[in-house]
Amino acid sequence: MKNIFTFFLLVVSCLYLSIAFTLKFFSNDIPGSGFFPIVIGITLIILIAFDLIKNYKGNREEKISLLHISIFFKLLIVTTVYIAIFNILGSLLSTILFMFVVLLLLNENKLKQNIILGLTIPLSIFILFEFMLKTGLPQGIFENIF
Amino acid sequence: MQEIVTNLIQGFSVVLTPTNMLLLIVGAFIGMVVGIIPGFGASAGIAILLPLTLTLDPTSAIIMLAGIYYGSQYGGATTSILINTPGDSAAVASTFDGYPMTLQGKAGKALIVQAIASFVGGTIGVILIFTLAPTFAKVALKFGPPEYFMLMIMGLLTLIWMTDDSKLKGFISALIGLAVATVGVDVITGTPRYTFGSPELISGVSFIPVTIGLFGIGELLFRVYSGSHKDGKLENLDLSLKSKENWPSWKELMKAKFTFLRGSIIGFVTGVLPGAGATIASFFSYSIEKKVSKEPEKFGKGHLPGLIAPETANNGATSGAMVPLMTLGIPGSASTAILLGAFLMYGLQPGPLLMIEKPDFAWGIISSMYFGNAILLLINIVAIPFFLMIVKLPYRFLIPVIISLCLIGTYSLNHSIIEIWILLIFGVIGFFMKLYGYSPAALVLALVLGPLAENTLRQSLIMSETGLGIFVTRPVSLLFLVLIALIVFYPVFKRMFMKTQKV
Repeated sequence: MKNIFTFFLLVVSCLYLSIAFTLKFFSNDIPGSGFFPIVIGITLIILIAFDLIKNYKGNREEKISLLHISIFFKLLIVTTVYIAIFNILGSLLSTILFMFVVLLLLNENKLKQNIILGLTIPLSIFILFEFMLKTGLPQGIFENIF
Repeated sequence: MQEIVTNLIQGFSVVLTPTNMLLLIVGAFIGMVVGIIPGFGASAGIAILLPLTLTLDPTSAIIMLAGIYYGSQYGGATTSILINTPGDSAAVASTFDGYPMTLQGKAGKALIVQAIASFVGGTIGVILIFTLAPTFAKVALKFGPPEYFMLMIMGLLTLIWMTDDSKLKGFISALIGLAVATVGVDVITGTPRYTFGSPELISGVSFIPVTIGLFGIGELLFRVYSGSHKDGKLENLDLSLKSKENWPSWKELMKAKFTFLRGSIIGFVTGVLPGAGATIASFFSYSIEKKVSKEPEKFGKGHLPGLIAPETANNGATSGAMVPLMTLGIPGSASTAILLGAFLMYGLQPGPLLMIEKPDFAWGIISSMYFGNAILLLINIVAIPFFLMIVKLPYRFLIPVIISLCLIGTYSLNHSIIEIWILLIFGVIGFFMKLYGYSPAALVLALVLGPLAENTLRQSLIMSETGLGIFVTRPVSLLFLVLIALIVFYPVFKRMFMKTQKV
């Protein structure tokens, strides 16, 4: 898994460098817009490749814990969906749904507690940001209603 | 000396009125609370709360806004210590030793030490303003692009001191930060870089979602991966201020007396330089403290000087940033830029004439900083049991709250959904960085310093007639170059010398 992550960094660095080559390295005898990206890209690729080779030579066995991997991925998916619906449903409703689903996943068999927390905490956060700090959160589907 | 005493008396007489003291307390408290919210730094707090001050007279209004400004520095470190989620980038360095202290059950002590360090840093900063403001302002005026470039290189070199575990991974992390910093429009040529046609990426990647993602969400994902959501309530954690465990001993504070002093001065001097700011000050101070310490191996594991150094520095920098603002009318940071806007709104023109024509106002604001620091120390200490309740809660309840606050806090800054996606992406990157020994701190520092380093290098070469020679022909730049050479080559020479000695 560690080598996969390092390899992923290498691939992204190569992509970064390939885009950097479309920019000017020097312009009128001074470093152009591509100077820093090209230097950074080349250095990154060299160092990451060196790290990858070091990992393979070292042949260290990595132990990934699969014990909580399921809840880890579920949390990531729920957070992704939360962001996706944030503007559509509005901040309050999307936060209530998010809070409730996460509590269902983490605080099992405590439905009443989860409902109370799932309503009060998002409402408190909403009041803090919307009315006290006046930050202007998205209303989503409620925008045309109120 | 007589002039300093006169200024002090004048300043104190302006602040010590019931109205101004009340506004100072309210401003400092609001600043502290705003600083706790992830993503909300001083600049956002001042900007949003500026309308509250419209009905006040100028001196009182600015006293309140200044209170919000340095109050937010206190608040920003609270979440760094309790949940490894810095309130802003200046509080990142406080996570290095503050959060490990919480994991060791010493959250109370960490918060009290943070409050004391912030107070000392702010107070020494105010003393330095009173005594040295005009001198520092003259020195700051001599700083041009070559000097700033050298300063950025020194800042990036402090990464060497910070990444003991794996220097290779530290450098890779810093390069990733520098790469992220190139996203946006190139300031010199106007060429868009890595924007992929997105109007939101034209202004680049903000360090707020990156910082909160790496440290806040990254840590949260790591704790879920490690099973912390299964942990129960911390039964044995004593929240009471009456418990000796929650207070640093006098011996511990005295042992760190030079840390307090060094951090405050480093912070103040860095803060005076426009654009340098509290973030750089806190990293500098941490790195230097680790370098000079007799116990460097303890840093990053809940070592008190590792928390004191960045906290004194970022509050010292808060005072330092007021120097170019008050004496030259040049804002040193985003927060002081908004304060400058407030000054102009009230018909006040900061600069050398302000100190002469309106000494009551100028010294009143500076004196209010001292009282504000003292009030914040008291507020923080009294509020600590409430903050500690957060630590005592089972982690599974904190998870959705932290994620929501991080997301909404980040969204509130620029109303950008792209920044929330950046937050999540860097959260995942932060998780892997923590898992595989990379350095999120190096990434953030490089992200902050990278654009400044690139632009100042290119500006230096544009203004130079001798190419790279400009870095040796200017005295201050040459001095920095010599310091950088010492930093880089001294360890090499030392090792060679010791090898020769052994032979």
